[in-house]
Amino acid sequence: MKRTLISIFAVVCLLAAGTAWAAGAEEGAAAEAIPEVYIWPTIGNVTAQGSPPEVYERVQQAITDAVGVKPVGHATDPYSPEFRTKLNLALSSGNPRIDVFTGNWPEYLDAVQPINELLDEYGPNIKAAFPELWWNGMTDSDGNIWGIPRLGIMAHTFFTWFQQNMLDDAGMELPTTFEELEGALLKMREVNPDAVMLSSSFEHLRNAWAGAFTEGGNARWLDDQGNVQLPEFAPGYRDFIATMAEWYGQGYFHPDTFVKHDDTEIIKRGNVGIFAGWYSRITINVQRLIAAGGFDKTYVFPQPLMSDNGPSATNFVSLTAAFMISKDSPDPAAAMKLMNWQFDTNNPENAATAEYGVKGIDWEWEDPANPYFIRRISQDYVSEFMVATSLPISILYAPDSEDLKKHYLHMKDYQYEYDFGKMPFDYYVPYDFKAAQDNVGAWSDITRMLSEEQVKFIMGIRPMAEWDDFLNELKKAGYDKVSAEYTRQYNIHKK
Amino acid sequence: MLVDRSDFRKAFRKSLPYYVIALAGILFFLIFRYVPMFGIVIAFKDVSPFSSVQDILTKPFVGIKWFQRFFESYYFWEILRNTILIRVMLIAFGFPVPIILALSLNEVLQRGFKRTIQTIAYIPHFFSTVVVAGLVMMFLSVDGGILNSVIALLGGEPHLFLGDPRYFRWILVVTHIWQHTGWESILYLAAISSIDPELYESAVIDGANRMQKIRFITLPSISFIIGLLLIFAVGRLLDAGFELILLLYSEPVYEVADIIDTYVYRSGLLAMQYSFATAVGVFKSVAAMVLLLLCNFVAKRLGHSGLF
Repeated sequence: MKRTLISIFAVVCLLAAGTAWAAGAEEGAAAEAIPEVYIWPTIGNVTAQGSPPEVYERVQQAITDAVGVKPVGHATDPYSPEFRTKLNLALSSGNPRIDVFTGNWPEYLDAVQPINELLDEYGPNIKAAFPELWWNGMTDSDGNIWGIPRLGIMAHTFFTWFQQNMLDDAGMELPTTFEELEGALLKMREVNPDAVMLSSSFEHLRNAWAGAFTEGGNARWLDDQGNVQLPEFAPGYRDFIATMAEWYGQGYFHPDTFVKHDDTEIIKRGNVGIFAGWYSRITINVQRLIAAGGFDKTYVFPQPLMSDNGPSATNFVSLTAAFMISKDSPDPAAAMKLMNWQFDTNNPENAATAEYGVKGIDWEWEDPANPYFIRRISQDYVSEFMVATSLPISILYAPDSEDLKKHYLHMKDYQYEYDFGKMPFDYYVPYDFKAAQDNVGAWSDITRMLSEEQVKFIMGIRPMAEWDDFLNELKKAGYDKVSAEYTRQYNIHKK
Repeated sequence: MLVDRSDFRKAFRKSLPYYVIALAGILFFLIFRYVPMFGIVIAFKDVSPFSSVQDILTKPFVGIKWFQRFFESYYFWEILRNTILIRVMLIAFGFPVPIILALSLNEVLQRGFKRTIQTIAYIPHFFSTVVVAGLVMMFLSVDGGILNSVIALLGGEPHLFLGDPRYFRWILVVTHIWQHTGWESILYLAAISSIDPELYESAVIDGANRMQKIRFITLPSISFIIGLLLIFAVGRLLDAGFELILLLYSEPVYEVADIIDTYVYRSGLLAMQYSFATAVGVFKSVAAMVLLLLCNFVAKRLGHSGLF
């Protein structure tokens, strides 16, 4: 027994001594430590496995040498359904540590810090990278700036794409007006009876075409009493739904359009003559099909698709999407320095290093005299340290791979073409949808009713004769409170 | 009778290893099951997703605000109906199938054939729900889906099954049966294997045929496990299979597919209204507990063994 006690005592002493030594060593190291910035993935390249350790360390060291700040990346799958839940849990518990992440800033007000002073002191590149308008979306009514713009106002997202092969087969020019759309599909069907229209979703369809029927497009509008109203109540909107219903009834749309479907799987069949949806389905997915071989269809779009009511598309506004610094970040200045380095639009190699790795080892310019396309030497690095995934940076360089070139060129060429779509009248208002849902209990009921019933009208499940009943049902479910909440927030920010 | 203290010590020391083993289990339930129950308080407060424990403790109570919001929802009765109906369909049609499979497999004498069938039946259980949803979409697609291709081959018109409220719930039921029947039959097979073979031998001597052996020996012998699993299934009456529905439903079928969990996902989690989501969770748990107790009571009154 005595021997056992002596052994236990010896082990405890040994452990205590070891811990004290380790703590001392840690303290000593901390005195001269380089500040660290922990990054939650801001780009889809990141994988759950992360970069191989030697690649990770190489890129980490290169950035540390350049900025004096050591980035630390979390390897987690950004496409995983738990991605945001994990982020929220980490932010609330502080474990794992997160300094920089992305999201809609009004939703994270309790978890982040205002960055006005940090921007002034350490963020000149960031301030210069964005138009003034975009900063409106980051600023609350008290003047606090809560993040760095990520998406802003996008003009390049909802175009109407026509299959070039079908246009050629039908001997047609590219249609340029919405009024030519139906005729174009009918002509395509003369040579390919299976030709159909497709959209990624009802919401995308509205963004692409509602502008042909209403003055404001797929956007809120201000009524005579100064109340913000949803597009469903706008003059002309009913005609939009009626026309879509008529086209669906005629079999113009692919039948799966408004149920769960995979755009690429349908496009792969080759019979999608007209596509109105999120641009990357064409600029990436179709290019991937072509690059993989066996698919030879290409898609083109009018610049822009006009109508009697002006552009048929509506500019996509995601004004509150932001890069943020968590409120518990021990060194927010370091986080700002790291981002400022990557947001240097005069030196795209900084962001390229964070996205693709070390120049000369992981990538090189395809044409050093005209640096735009990047040739990747290695695909091992998965962008853990990237914190500048924003449009002003996305147009500075592009990978030279066949499946991505078109995508980057598309963004570069069209992201600021705001005349291609209708600009929502309240495009500069950073609506706080979290507060809206807190204040209006019926918010999610109204959201469901809006999409559900309209899809039913289009698919013929509900007759168009009941449109006014639908508007009354909306009011019964609490629409006026939704409108009042939009109006309240609009009035805070209106110019 | 008083127990001598030294006897107690002796008995304690003798059983110490067992207490240590039990301690692990007790700690597990304390830490992972009972301590988190403290989180119920979130349902009665206005808590942000990033509130600290101190915030949660110090924030004022808001009463039953979040419960009220749930009960006053325009779609409350619809989603409650959908949740219960889908679950009842899953129990009514999905519950007996593993029993039938287990009984059938028990009658198969050819070992190789039995193993093959078992393996084939178990495999879908290991598919992730995302993969299963993808398979269902491919199978039912209007454009090239296997089912619609067969219908077209037979001269029929392709049908938009996933967008038709009449079929959606049945798609969920059939998918559930296909995916889980094999796995769920394991417990029944295990129960069947523990039946004393002498009972069957005696029945053969008495002239019983196969069906009679199943009816009078096998089924009564596994009735306790059937009852137990049925009680569990009823206890999960408000869990209608969130993931599969979320991956397959769309606007045309909301009216038959929107369940409590999908509603909470949209209104509570996506909108980061954690207090609201917790309130609905509490409602579900209380309802499940009541159902479980009720079933247990009924089972006992009918002379079957209950959970406790």
